[in-house]
Amino acid sequence: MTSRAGQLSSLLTTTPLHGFRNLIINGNFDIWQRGTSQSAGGYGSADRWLFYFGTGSGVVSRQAFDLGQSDVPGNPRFFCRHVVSTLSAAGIGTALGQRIEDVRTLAGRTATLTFYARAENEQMIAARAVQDFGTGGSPSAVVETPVASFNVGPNWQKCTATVNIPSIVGKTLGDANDHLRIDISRPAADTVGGYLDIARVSLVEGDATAEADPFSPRHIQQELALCQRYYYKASNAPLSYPFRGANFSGGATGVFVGAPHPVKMRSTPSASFEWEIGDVAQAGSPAVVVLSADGWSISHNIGAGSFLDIIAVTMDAEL
Amino acid sequence: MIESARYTKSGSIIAVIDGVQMSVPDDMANRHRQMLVEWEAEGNTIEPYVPPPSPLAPLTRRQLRLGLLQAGITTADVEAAIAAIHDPMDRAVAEIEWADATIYERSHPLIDQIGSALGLTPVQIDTMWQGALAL
Repeated sequence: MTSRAGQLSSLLTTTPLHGFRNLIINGNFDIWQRGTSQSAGGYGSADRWLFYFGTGSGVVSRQAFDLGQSDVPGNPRFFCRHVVSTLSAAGIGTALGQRIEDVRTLAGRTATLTFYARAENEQMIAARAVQDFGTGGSPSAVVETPVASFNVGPNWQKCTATVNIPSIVGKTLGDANDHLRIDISRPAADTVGGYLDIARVSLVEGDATAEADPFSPRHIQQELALCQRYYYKASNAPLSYPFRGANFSGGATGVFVGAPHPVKMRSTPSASFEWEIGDVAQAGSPAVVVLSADGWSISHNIGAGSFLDIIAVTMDAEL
Repeated sequence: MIESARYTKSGSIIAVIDGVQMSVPDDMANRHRQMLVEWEAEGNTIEPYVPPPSPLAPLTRRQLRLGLLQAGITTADVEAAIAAIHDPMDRAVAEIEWADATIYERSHPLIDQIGSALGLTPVQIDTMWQGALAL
């Protein structure tokens, strides 16, 4: 049965009006706040995406589509390239995945996972949904539900399948961090040295397999704000005066510098600072750092007539 | 990989994770705090908060000059160091501070600046300062 959202989609055409239908954030790989490549597993490049290289090593990088290409619909700007360089044991398992906040998401419902993929060496990739009941306390064990396997080759192809996300009746939540996760895994054979490209990932409620493009785009500012709920980097470096605190008193004293986050974050974030006192770069962290899901502030003792500049802040509240 | 972790006065944790020093909230919803839980389960320890030493009290003019003298530094040595300051405005400020201040703050930038010109490290200045407080 085609979902009601899908029926609406066909009525509204592809407009941002139905943009919150897609539960994957940064599914078009437009936002790369951490950097445009990574070679360590975990978070490190494309926002919201976790990347892994199994027992080996590799690199993930942002790649640009040719302007006007028609292999992948919607004119996306970028795709993600996953390359495994070395492998010391069979199979790398999960290559990439995304954690969707709240394990209640789609519980007991049918959903459709759709993405476009191509691989330098033909290979079978697999997708699964994982319900994780969180950390702390006594959460229920994770529930893994296979979505589908797809045989991909050197040409872009649409990979789409429905999945029935199990009900969570009778399950127990942990204290925090419960989520629904979508993983895409790669096999060992034909993986090493070859790339796997992924683009335009969506997870929508209902059966959207008959839709030409269920991706449901959002405005880039909405997408960035969604990413910033989990991670952001702010820098005033090009300006003469970054986040600055000055000591106009006659002796050494603590100065305060702070700012609200661009959006409310998922939880209290971890913070790292690039900072200077009197134009001299400082190592480590300022003396007192106060963090919340709404903003940050620091206090640090500096000498008379000096000033403290926060050149850049990085806040991480990822799942 | 977690290299080190210690609590701060505010209750958050300063940790070095994957080569980056970061402030981690003591909030189990934070993924780095969760990593620290696993790190502790492996037998590691988050170091407790240790208050920094109290700042040194200011010295009177008499204490400063006696302290310098006990370290073998005369008034003339200090005035020569001040006279060697290149910028005329900075030099004039230093002359006024030296001649007219009634108390001297350890944290005043001129203390380290003149101390350095006299061949003293900040640690040596602290030691000398501590001794002068008893004079």
